[in-house]
Amino acid sequence: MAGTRDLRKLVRPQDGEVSRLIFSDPEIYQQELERIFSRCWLYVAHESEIPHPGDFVTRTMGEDPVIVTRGEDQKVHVLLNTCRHRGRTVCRVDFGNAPEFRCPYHGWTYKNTGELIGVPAYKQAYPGGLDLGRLGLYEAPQVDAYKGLIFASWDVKTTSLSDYLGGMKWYLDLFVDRTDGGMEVVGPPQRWLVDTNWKLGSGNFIGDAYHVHMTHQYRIELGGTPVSPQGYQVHTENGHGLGLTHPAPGTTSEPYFGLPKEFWPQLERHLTKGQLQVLKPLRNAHGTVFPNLSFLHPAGTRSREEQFTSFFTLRQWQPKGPDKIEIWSWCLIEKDMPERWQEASRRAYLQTFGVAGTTEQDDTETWADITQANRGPVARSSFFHYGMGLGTVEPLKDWPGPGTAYPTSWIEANERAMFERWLELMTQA
Amino acid sequence: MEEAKTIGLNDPPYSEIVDFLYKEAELMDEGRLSDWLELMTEDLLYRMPMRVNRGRGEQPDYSHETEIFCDDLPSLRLRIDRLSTGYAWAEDPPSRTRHVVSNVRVTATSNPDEFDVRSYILVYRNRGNSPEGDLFSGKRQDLLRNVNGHWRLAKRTILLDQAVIGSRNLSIFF
Repeated sequence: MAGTRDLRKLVRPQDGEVSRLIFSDPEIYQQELERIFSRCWLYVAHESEIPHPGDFVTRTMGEDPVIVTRGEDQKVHVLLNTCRHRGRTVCRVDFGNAPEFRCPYHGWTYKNTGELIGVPAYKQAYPGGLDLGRLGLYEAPQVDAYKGLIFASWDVKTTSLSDYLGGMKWYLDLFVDRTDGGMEVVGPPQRWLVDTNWKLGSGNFIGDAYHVHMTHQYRIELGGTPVSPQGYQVHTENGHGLGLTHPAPGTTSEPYFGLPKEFWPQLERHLTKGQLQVLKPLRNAHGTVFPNLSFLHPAGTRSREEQFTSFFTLRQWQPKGPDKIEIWSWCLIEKDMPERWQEASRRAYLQTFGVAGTTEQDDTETWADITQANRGPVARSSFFHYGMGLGTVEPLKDWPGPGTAYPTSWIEANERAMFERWLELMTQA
Repeated sequence: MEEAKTIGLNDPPYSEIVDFLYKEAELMDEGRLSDWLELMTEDLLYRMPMRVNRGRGEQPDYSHETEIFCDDLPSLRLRIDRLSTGYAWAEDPPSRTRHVVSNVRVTATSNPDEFDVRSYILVYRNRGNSPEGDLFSGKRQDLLRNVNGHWRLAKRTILLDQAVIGSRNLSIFF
């Protein structure tokens, strides 16, 4: 087991070096499941996926399967999807509406809020009775939502969601709290399997604007807009961060991600002057809420002939092993936008992201390749280079938002901050 | 009623349509995607809804809202054009594919030049030096149109037989 001292030698963000071993070692992976995924606030669903009492979706927290349900009182419950008797899953479908869940093994039945309400042939099977009140589905002790994003944590002692998100809330508002209707999901998430480590996804989305010019150069060859370091990179506490990309010199982008002018008064009502100042000129925003929730908000045209549009995607890098993830990808759209705008946004997402997305294809190819190339002992004993901007680029002194902001989107400060947080959680007592 | 309109195996244009599907598969497997695109109509709709897990009897078992892709002719052309930019890393080196088309059933429509065509597909995809490949199984629902004596694809809806897709991407065509 890699000891605390070992991890501090392996992961040295202050030197811009992160060991390749932590992206594939099975013991470190198990430690991550315990120290990160069992403690942090993890994203589980969007409010628009379970709008009515009785609605549920089945999700995963790390490798633990959960059912996310809405009770009669509108409260959201996150229940471990395994019978308290002997472990069979009590819900085997992706989504639906149900007042209760019945285990197919022995028939123990639970209310959709978790209470054990039925045990078949109770008196005959358990003449001495059962402490029914203590045999409900295990429930995540902490469940909360921020602007439609539902999170849960297994850690009773953890800080509030608001404190966990910290300064990142200010940035999430730019996307999920800027109109009266807000965002809603288009539908259930796409899911697909990639042979890679979850930190390659989180690390890419938190701060890698630099890869766009090479990995996604096809876009420019087809007449897309060029990329440049114009923009900012910002990280907040707790390992979160995002990149804010501006149009390259000589190019323009429509203000506010092309949201129609009639919606601008809503933006001005929902966001502060500082937030509007940051939002208005953006061409792209990408980020990660530690540990494994990322987002992307690009703007542009779907094809040479199409109208300008933008889309917002949430994704989770669900860990399935040290070298395996399931990517879950959602498309969200502004609820109140005209249908034509919504459809253009959805099609732009499908063209570029998701399992068949022309942009996303090249990212998963990269991460699977990295994982394949770094299986052997020599590769694993070496380090990844996270030194961009280290010691040479100073944070901005007059930035309108929270966190630490840098005057370029080509820098690896966010990745370094993410690994600092990783190290903190992995070496905590 | 539907059975009365199903075209028999020995009746025109069944064998012509099967030949069209085989030719189309060959073009895809040989990487001749510009030629493949020539087989589409201007009003093409080419889409793949996403499969979901629901209880037995709960219909449909695909999502009405979430698709894997939804292309018209211009956006499909973009997907193909991207492959010759020299920067399509997911297909460089290219995948080796084999499209096996089977269980073809042809039904007439109210338009004498258009036919509903259903087919099953097994598509094997292998990349690089991996001895293991992906095997995609699925069903296609097509609308084929006879344009001046040539068969053209006007509409295709593909349903793959996976809810969680077991491959790093779907960079190939179906």
